[in-house]
Amino acid sequence: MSNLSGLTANNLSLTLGGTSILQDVSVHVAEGQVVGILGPNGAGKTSLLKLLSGQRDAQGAVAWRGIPLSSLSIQELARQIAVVNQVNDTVFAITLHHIVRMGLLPHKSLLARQTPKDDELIAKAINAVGLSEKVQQEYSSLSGGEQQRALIARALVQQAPLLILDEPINHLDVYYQHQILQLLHELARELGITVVMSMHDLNLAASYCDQLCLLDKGQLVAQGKPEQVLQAELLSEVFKIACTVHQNETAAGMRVEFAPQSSPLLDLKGWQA
Amino acid sequence: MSTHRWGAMVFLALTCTFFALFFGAAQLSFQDVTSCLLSECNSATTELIFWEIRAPRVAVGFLVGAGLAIAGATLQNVTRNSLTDPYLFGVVAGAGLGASIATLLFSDSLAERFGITQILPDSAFSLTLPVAAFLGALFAVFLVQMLVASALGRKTEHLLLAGVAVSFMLGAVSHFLLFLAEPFAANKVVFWLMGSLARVESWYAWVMLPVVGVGSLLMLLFGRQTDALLLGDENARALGVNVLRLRMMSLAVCAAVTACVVSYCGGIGFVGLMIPHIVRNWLGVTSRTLILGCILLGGSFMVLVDVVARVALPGQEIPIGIITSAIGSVFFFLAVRQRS
Repeated sequence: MSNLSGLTANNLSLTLGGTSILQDVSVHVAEGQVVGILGPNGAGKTSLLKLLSGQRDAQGAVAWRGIPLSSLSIQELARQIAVVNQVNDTVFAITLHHIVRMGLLPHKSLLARQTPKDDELIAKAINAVGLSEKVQQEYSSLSGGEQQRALIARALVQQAPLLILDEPINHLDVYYQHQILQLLHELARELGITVVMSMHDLNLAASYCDQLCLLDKGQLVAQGKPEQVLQAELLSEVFKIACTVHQNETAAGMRVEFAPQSSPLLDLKGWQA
Repeated sequence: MSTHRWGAMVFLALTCTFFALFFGAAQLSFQDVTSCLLSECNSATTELIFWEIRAPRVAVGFLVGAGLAIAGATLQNVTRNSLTDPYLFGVVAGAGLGASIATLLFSDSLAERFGITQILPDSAFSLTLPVAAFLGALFAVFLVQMLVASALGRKTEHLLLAGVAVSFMLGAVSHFLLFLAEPFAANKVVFWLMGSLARVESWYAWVMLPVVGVGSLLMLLFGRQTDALLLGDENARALGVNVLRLRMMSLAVCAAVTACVVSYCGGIGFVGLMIPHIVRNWLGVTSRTLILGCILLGGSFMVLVDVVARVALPGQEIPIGIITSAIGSVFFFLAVRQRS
C-alpha cells in the first residue's frame, strides 16, 4: 500500500521485553481527517501513536505524504508532526508561556530571535485552550487538565500539518473536553490539519472523529467510520462488558451505553474497611 | 522587575570584583588600585603586585566561580535534577584523578618506580594538567552513563547515585596513587585537592577564559533546546531536539569547564549546586537566563569567598574549597529540606 497523501502505516509490529505490544497493524489516515484510536487499557494505543509519530522504531513502515518517517531528520519530523504526549511534570519552575513557546523550536535556527509574529502566535494558542489568565503561572502548579491544555497549545504553535495526541482529554472536565475536541475538529476542517488521537470516551469519539481505529491486544480489530466501528457486539467483546449502541442518522447522534457488571468483582465476605 | 534584578546582578559582579582588588597579603590603597586601572601604576612594585598577582587572582576567581556555576547548571538541566553538581556527579573526582596522575608523572620517584621517568617535558606541564583533568572528567561522565545504562535504569535519582559511586571510586584511586607517591608530591596534590587560588598565575586566566567562554556560548546557543529537555527526553525529541547529541555536548562542556577549573585550582565544591539554585529562584529557569545569571553570580560569589579565604586567618590562607564546601553542605541540606 503506497499513498502519497496522508499518513500510512504498513504492517507495524512491536515487541518489548519479549511481550508482543502490536501485531501487524496497518492504518491509513487521509489528510484533514480526525481519527480516534480506541481500545481498552493495554491494547497498544500509546505504542501505536509513538510509531505513527516516529518517536519509536518498530517492524513495518510509517510514511507521511509518501515519505518514510525514518528518512526524515528529527527537526523535519517535528515540523511535520506535532505530538502531545501524556502529561509529564518538571521539577523546575518553568512557566506556561515558556512551555508553549517551545513549539517554535522546530522552526527556529539556533541564533533566530523571537519575532512579534511569534508572540502573537503563542498568545493565540494559549487563548485557544483557555489559559490566557495563567500565562506566567508555573507549569507544575497547573492542574493536570491545564497542563494538558498547555501541551496542546504548544502543539498548535508547532504548526505541523499532522497532530498526534495521546489521550488529550484525559484530565479535562466536560466543558474543556468538548472545547478541545471542537478545536481539533476546526483545525482539521478549516486548516486541513490531520489529527490522530487516542481516547477512551466512545461517545465523544463518535461525535468528533471522522474515522476510528479499534485496537485489542495489539491488533487492529476494526477501522472505519464511527458507525462502522462502534458495533455493540464488537465493543462488548473488546471491552468485556455488555453494551448497547443507539444508532442515529448521523455519527454525532450515536450513543454507546455500557451495562454495569452483573456479578460482584470482589468477594466481600470477610473484607474489612 | 526582571530588568532591576539583572541590574542588581551586574552591579554585584562589578562591585565584588572591584572590592576584591584591595584584599591580599600586600596592602593596596584606593589610589594604587584606581591608578593601575585607569592609567599607570604608582610604582613598579605596585604594578607587579597589581597586574601579576592581584588582578589575575580576581579574574581567575571570577572565571572559576562562573565556570563551576555553568557546569552545575548544565548538569542540572541535563539530568533534570536541581540537586546535582559536578562534585556529586563524579566529574570533579574524575578531573582530580586525571590531574593527580599528570602531577605524579612529574614526580621523579613515582615515575622511576613505574619506569616512566620524565615522559613529558616540564614545559608541557601547564597544558598536560588540564588535558589530563579533562580526560579524567570525561572518563567519569562515561562511567556514570555506562553504569546508568547498564544496570540502574534511566531515572535521574539513579544518575545521581551512580555519580556518587563513581566519585568515591575515582577518589579511592586518586588516594591510592597519593599513598604510593613521595610525600612532597602527595602533599602538593592534597593541598591542590582542597582547592585554592593561592598559586594562581596570570596565564591561568588566558587558558580558562576560552574554555569557560566557549562553554558558556555553546550552552547559550543551545539554550532553547536545553529548555525542551526540562519536560523529558520524549517531549524534547518531539520538538525536534537531538536529545542524545545535546546531552553528550552538554556533558562534554560540563567536563571541560570543570576539568579546566579543577586542574588549576583544585576541588572547589558546591558552587555548581548553590549558584544555579539561587539564580533559578531569583531570575528564572530558562537556560539562557540561567547561564547568564550563573556567570554573574558564580563569579561574584567566588571572588567574595576568595577574599574571605585571604583575610579570615591573619598571615595565612584558608583553601577556598573548605569554605565553599562548608557553605555548600548547609545549603544542600536546606535545599533538600525545602524540596521534601
